[in-house]
Amino acid sequence: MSQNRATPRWVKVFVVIIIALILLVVILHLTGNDFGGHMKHSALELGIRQLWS
Amino acid sequence: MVMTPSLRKFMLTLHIIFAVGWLGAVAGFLVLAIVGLTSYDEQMVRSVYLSMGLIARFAIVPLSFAPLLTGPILSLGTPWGLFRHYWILAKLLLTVVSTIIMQLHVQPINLLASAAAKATLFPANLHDMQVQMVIASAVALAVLIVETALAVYKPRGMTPYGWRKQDELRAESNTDPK
Repeated sequence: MSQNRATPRWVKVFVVIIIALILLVVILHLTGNDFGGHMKHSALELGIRQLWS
Repeated sequence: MVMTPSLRKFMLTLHIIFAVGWLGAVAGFLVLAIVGLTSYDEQMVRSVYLSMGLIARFAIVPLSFAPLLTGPILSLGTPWGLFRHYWILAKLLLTVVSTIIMQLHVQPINLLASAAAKATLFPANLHDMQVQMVIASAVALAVLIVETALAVYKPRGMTPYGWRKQDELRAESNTDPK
């Protein structure tokens, strides 16, 4: 019985989606935009600042 | 170490309770976040963010860490393993990322809750944070739904490590005369 050891397609699609989402978030933050509009004190930034302080 | 069937069922029950409980808490949190953002009733808005603070602290935070304990215990105590199958790796990755993102949002949630507790009028400059609560909880809910689907469907696919372990086990059983 031969076994297909190739990486399944769903894994490749999953990885692509994850990478695309990460890039989207990074690009949005670098360009000063975010899902909630222009914000200096966004929820995520506040959380990150708290984490690093 | 392979668990006994009764212990495995007990751990699986705990894992499902925590994981689905987390999903339910986030779903409720999302409903409140939407109401908090869209309602014009000051009392309603303040109540919503007070409730969100409680739900986050006493339900979402503990329930998000619990599957990180029960999941690996369950995986490592069964032939599934933690790194042998892609669906388990995917669930682990999603859970770790979700927990980190949730932790980053705890402070803003507390900020909104304390603003609701202190002010008679909910501050307008927190609007962006209110929007982010809706988006973050919607994304979290979507991720948890994906995890649930992965757990039920268990899509095929073994990692290279998994194939190696399987080959080792087969080699052992072939050389072991019984």
